Amino acid sequence: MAQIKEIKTRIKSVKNIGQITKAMKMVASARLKRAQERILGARPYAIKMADVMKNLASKAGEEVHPLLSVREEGKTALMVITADRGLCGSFNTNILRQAHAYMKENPQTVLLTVGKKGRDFFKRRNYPIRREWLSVFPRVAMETVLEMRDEIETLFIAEKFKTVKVLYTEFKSVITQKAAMDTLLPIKVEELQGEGQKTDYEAGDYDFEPDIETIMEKLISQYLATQIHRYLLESFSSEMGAKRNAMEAASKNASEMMAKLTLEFNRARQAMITKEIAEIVGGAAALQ
Amino acid sequence: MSKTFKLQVVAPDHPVLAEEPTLVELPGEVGEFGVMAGHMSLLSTLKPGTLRIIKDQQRDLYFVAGGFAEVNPASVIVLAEEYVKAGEIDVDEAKKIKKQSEEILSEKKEGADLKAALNALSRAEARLKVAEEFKSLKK
Repeated sequence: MAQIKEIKTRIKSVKNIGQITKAMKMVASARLKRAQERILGARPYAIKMADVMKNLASKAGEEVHPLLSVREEGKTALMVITADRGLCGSFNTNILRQAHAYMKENPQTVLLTVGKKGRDFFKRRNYPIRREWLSVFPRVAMETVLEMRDEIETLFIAEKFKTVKVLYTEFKSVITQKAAMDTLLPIKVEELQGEGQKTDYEAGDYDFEPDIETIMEKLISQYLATQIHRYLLESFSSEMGAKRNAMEAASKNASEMMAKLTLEFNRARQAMITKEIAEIVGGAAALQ
Repeated sequence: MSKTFKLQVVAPDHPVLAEEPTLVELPGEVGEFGVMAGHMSLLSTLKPGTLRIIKDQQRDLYFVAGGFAEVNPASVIVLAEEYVKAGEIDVDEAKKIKKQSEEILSEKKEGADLKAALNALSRAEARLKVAEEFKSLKK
């Protein structure tokens, strides 16, 4: 009897867990879809911007913008983008493993972290964190992006860093996400990805309002913000993809476990019935 | 009928807005300017303000939150930080932001981000202006 009751409670709790993981999977799917739409929305903007910048850079000639300057020496900053929460499979582990390996090789690197998981990881290991951002997701507000941009610009321009890198999770598809490292600064104009639209008028024909330097400066710092925005969204999409998969696996496990437990429950019940009948039969036989 | 040209308004987080207007009025940083087909090539920064798209006697209003405009004889590309259709502007929200940022600016508290407040204020004011113009147009 006791065993039956035990199994029953277990079935109930497994069922509950299954329901929760299923709901979490659905939430992750919905968020993933929205994040992807945002990436798609931001893409034409980035492409158009790259086109304009390329056009402009060819005209501006040698007048180098501070964010474009390539330095031989100087410190490196690494921005690590993780999630705020777990329950998303190996998402955080993958990023942090790579980040940790990089930090071991280049201990002088200045750290910037996005997300609670990354902050906690490096704090536990006593790495100094220059700046941390928490609860950026799922909103990914422009104000936050601009804050990050300003910080990175300060590092690069005022403190003469050699390079600023970003470690994020690239969203390849719902099932594959890969930790990847990119260089945020300095910006290499030749490597910008635009449509490469060639126009039929000469490059020098542009009029500038107010003037080319101001425009270049605004454009480049706006471009940097767009890039950061993209990395954040990409990372968030990956997180949601990973979470979706993790929750799907958990739901599957829960239903498998439930099937197993139900079988066990039925067996126990059958055993009890058999035992009772045997007792009755035995009792009847004793009377005769 | 005057000639039309291609207009694209792009912003992160927003779908691309593609139109074929005869005239577009943009809030340039040095002053508002209008563009018709065949305009000379121009690259200008934009301040938060009103974007008017005029085609077939119809006038569409948008709020743009600063950015850039690349003008070519046959096309105009607006790279905005944000754009909102006039009818969809949240007036109450804009009023709230305006009030908040005005308070920050008048108190001049230490540590308060005055630059951010100024930005927010100019955006909120521009938003309200667009909403107002939209209202008067509808009448």
